[in-house]
Amino acid sequence: MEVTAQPVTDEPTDADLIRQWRNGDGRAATRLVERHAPGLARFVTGEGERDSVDEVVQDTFVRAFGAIDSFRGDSAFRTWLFTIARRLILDRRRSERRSRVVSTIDEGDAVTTFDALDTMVADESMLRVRRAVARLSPKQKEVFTLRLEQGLSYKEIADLVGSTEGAARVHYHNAMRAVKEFLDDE
Amino acid sequence: MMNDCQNVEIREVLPELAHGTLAEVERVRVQEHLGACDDCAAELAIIRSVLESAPVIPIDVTRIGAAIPPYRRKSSGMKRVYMELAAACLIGAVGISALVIHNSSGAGVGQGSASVGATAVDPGIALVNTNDLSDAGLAQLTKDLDNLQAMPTSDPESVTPVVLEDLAGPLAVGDSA
Repeated sequence: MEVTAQPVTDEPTDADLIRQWRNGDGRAATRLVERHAPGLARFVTGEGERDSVDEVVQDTFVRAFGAIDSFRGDSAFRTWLFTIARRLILDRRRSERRSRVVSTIDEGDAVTTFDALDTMVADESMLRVRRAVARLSPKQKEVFTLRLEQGLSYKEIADLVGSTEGAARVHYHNAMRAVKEFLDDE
Repeated sequence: MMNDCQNVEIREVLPELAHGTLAEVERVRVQEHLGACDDCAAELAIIRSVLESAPVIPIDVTRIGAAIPPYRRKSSGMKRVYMELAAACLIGAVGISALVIHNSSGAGVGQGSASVGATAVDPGIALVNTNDLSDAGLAQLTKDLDNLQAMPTSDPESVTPVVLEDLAGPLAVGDSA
């Protein structure tokens, strides 16, 4: 089935805005930040980086725009941002681990925002869904969140988490089945 | 009880439907299916719950926008490769020229002087270190060089008088005979 990378609107595409920024329009960069910062912040939070979300998001954008010539458009701009953010987070963790401030990185660090924000969800059915998602394994939770909250394709998820498209699909469907079972049992 | 619909193709694009990134024709087709399938409708409801309850993280967009420096075009990788290639060709051409010049001058010195302390590097090149020569050796080298200068060369102008001189003898003898 045909899908588009961005919602079908009259808004300029990411590629249009990047071109405008290259041609000297500074506002185009701000529009790209406005468009992608919320999703990027959720992604960064989901990766377990709760205390310095603002800093990581800013560093990600600065690095991305500084290396814009290396962005060939093979992936969506958003996925490219996520890849940069993920590397930044790993670098920060390695550096922190060396100074023995923070414990080691493992799959469990990608806890996602489902764990801490239940109380902010007023709707009872939404709260039940979030509780169900919180019970997923770390890998299922990460893939499920990237697929639903961020709207990434299986290929984008696989590229991002260093897995295969097939594995991402299996994780997603297993997660969905687990959520349904949890909701049925409640 | 929620089940999984067997129409995998429809289930696969429910997230895209929720995000509004499905093409119009496909969107209509999926919505028709949803009207008749409770399982897919329930799955879509879960997806929408996840989306709608996604947390909003406060981010200072203005500050981030201000931190982005203006675009600066960098020289392309290919341009740099071409420049490096051109530099390598230039160095190579200079090297070959030096070798050709060295060969043509070295071959002349080598001829007839191999017996007087010359160090052969190549059949066409002979290097002479005069510091290593004794007085007798130096005298021999000088004599060799004198002989070398007397030898005919490929230069027609310098060859012509010698040839005419050589030919004059026999002709004169014949004429006199």
